[in-house]
Amino acid sequence: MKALTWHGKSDVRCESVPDPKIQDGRDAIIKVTACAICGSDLHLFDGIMPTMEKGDVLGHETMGEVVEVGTHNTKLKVGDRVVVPFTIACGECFFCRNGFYSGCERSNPNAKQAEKLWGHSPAGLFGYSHMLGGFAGGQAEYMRVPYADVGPYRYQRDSRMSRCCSCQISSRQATWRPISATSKAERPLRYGAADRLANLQSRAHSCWALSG
Amino acid sequence: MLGAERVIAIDTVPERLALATKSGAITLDFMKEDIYERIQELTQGRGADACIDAVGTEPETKASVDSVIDRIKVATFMGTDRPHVLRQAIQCCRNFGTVSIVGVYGGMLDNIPMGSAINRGLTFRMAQTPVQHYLPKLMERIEKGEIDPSFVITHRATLDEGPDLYKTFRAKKDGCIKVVMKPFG
Repeated sequence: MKALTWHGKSDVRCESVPDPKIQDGRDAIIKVTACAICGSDLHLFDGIMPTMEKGDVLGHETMGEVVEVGTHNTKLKVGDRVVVPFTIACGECFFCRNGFYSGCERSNPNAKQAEKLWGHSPAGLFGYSHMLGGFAGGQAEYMRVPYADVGPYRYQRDSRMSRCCSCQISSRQATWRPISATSKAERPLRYGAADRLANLQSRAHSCWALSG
Repeated sequence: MLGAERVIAIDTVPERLALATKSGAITLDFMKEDIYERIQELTQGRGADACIDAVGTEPETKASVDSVIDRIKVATFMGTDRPHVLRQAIQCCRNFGTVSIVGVYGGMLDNIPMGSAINRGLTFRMAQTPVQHYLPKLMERIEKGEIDPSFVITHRATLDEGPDLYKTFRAKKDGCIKVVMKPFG
């Protein structure tokens, strides 16, 4: 398949790479219908993120159509349209159960590398270095989604979502007010209300933050 | 939409400032204005309720002296990150306000004004987003038509055009704010 691959500072190529394959029963393979270049991808393009390797497939803002599902994946079926979060989460560990999906303690197979630098490892991410899992990203024709019975969000083929391809932007920028309350009932979407968004400090991502 | 009364957007790229203005924000150009002084004026000297650092480790070097020093430190392996915007966000935030970090940092940050943060009771929020938590609620709003983030998209392309668009996006050329690629057209 065709994919955008990282080859070093200021060196991204569009080249042919092997098609992704189901590796675990909970996986799914999606045919990418739209993928975006994130401001965070520019950190990779600038060569400042450690543990990138030549040939790594980039991309973490991805949506697509499910074309294959693993044998244990009961949530998705072929033909589903999905938006894929850039954070990979098992849905079962301590952090996932508490809503801290990007702190998933099972989704980063290279957690030891991250622990050396940060003390503990966060979740694995798509297309964002080997320290964060070495997962092939979505700037490609197809992408393998691990734990695909947890992360991908399904939408209707004819819905507004199908016309709006940058939804991941909203989810990315919501970072600034993650889960704060203690119970699920007290966890409304609060990336702006309580503290009244008063100042958008920005250069690289300003317009995205505004979309919230 | 969720209760922010006033939003102050800070940037220097003209098309981004224009988009922010169009979206209802007050805009400041950090290459032309003193950001701290302007926010003081806009908040009657109190400071902003909440400050978002949406830049992270690669701010514009020419914008400030501390950024130049950071640049030199990183180039000589004396530092890992260039946190000018985080410093500014802390200084501009009101007492007991919130500083939220969306921009990505990777390593050990120097000269963060923790004295300011501690003595004034700031709250720090940061993470790689737990997307799975927020996505259903955000999608619901998109489905209902309450949010349409597609307004940020400036470039639609194929994968083949991707490598060139990385360059265009980094250089902020051609009005490039957001690139979306459709591998199958």
